Amino acid sequence: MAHIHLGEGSFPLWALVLWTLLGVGLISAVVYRVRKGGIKTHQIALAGIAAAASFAIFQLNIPVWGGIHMNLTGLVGILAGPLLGALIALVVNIFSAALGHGAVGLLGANTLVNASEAIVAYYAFKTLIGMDWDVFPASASAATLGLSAGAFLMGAIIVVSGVNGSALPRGDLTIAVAGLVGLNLFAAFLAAGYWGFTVTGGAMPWAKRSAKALQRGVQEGGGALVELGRGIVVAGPIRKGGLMVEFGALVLVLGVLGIGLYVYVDRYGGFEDGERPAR
Amino acid sequence: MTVTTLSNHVPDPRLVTAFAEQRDGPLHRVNPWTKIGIVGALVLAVTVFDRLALLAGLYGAVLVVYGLAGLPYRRLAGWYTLPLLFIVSVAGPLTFLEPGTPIGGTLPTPLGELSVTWAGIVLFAELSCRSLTVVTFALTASMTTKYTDVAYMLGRLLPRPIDQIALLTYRFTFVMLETLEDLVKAALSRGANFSEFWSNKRLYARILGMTMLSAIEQSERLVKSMEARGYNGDITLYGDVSRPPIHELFVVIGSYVAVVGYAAVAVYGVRQ
Repeated sequence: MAHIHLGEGSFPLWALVLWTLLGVGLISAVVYRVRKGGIKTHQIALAGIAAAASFAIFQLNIPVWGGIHMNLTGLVGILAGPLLGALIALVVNIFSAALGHGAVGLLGANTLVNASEAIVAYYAFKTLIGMDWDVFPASASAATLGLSAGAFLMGAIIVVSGVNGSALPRGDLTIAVAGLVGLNLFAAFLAAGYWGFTVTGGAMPWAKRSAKALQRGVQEGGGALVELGRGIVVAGPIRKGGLMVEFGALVLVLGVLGIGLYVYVDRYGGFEDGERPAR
Repeated sequence: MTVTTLSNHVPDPRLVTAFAEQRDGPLHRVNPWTKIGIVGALVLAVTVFDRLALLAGLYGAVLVVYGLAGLPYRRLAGWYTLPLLFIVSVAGPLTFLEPGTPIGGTLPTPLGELSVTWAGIVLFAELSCRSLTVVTFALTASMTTKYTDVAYMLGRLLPRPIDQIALLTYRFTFVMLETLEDLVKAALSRGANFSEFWSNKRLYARILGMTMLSAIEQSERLVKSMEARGYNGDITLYGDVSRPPIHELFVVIGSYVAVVGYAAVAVYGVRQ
């Protein structure tokens, strides 16, 4: 699970507002779709306990580079589907922030990053299974792709936002952040990819059960966000109207708002280019 | 409550809840809505405050509040590891890259001269104060708010079905932690060694995999239990968190007025 590796107050106010709005937009669209499509008891239970397991697993210290922690967001995304996966990402982030891990003000940004991991992992797994891959290589590869997508999005969010109080030009900040993204990518490939391929083979006693659970997750896990084979729909069974207009409008409004905020701050923020954040 | 630490730099939710349930400091008696209001004000403050002295003062004040609540400083130092790692991972390179007056000499590299600047050091200190202020207060609030109050507020603040997922997560976090800890203890009793990852990678995979499987099995049992009790999309919450008393309300409103006022006048230069 990649995180925005920035503490509270690291982003300027406009970025905090922008990422919060985008996070709220994503979660609103998901909640809307879940409510419209209906949610079954077993999906609620699975989502709640998968989030609890993800949060519990995070407590275990893994002795690599002095100690790393995992959330298995990719696997949770495959199990619960992209809709519930996004909600689980939000819930795990809320609990993490309450325990001082992550940031309260960056809940929107963190949810975007983690939801993207779950969503990408789900579609990658579904595609690879469709191509007749075995479950374990497919899940390891899908989790790796999901984590990589999260790492790139994390880097993009930092570069777009800038760091509060830093006078560093965007180009130099991109170089600094590239190292961080690279480290995350390396961890993703090492953990989800290499480790997944080498240790989660079918020899494990729990392997068959895991495989069944993963495959059932794809079939029942709360509906898809985008069903490519059936045209673009936003989650769940295709309903009359498809709700694409509402979703598109929401994304458009948030996008325009975000760009507007950025342009406003960039032009009328009250700083000249040379003196911008330097103190 | 026995707590076997899985990691000494991540707060154990059971320990946090034990502090909330079994201690009775001044902050335990503060209304939970007030604490949430103060967290919001602090997030806003550390985002807009632009002077190191101010940020350090705010951090110091929060540290004092943490101590007044009767919470342990030694644990806090361990729990700072992850937030500090995040600060170092971003602010570390910026300390070298930030333009400004170099401290000491410069180190020539193929890409240019490398040096730590005063501006870089100040930025590092500012980011640390910003981050640790909210981390400390979030932990203070978590360690002084009872389980039932947290559950009630989750149910009130989050829309359905997120509230249902959050409530189940909160309840089952403790169950899953017990499961994970049992697996770790079982492996240790069979002579496992957790100090090295790569030579024990199968063991780690088995523990993490079994935890996820146990979660799936728990969810299957939970579904039967929920349906037997006539679950209709609503987990009934018992208990109530009243509105904050008037003096606490004034403190919260005063905090926001002070932060917004400072930001408007000192940071954004709003004049009459």
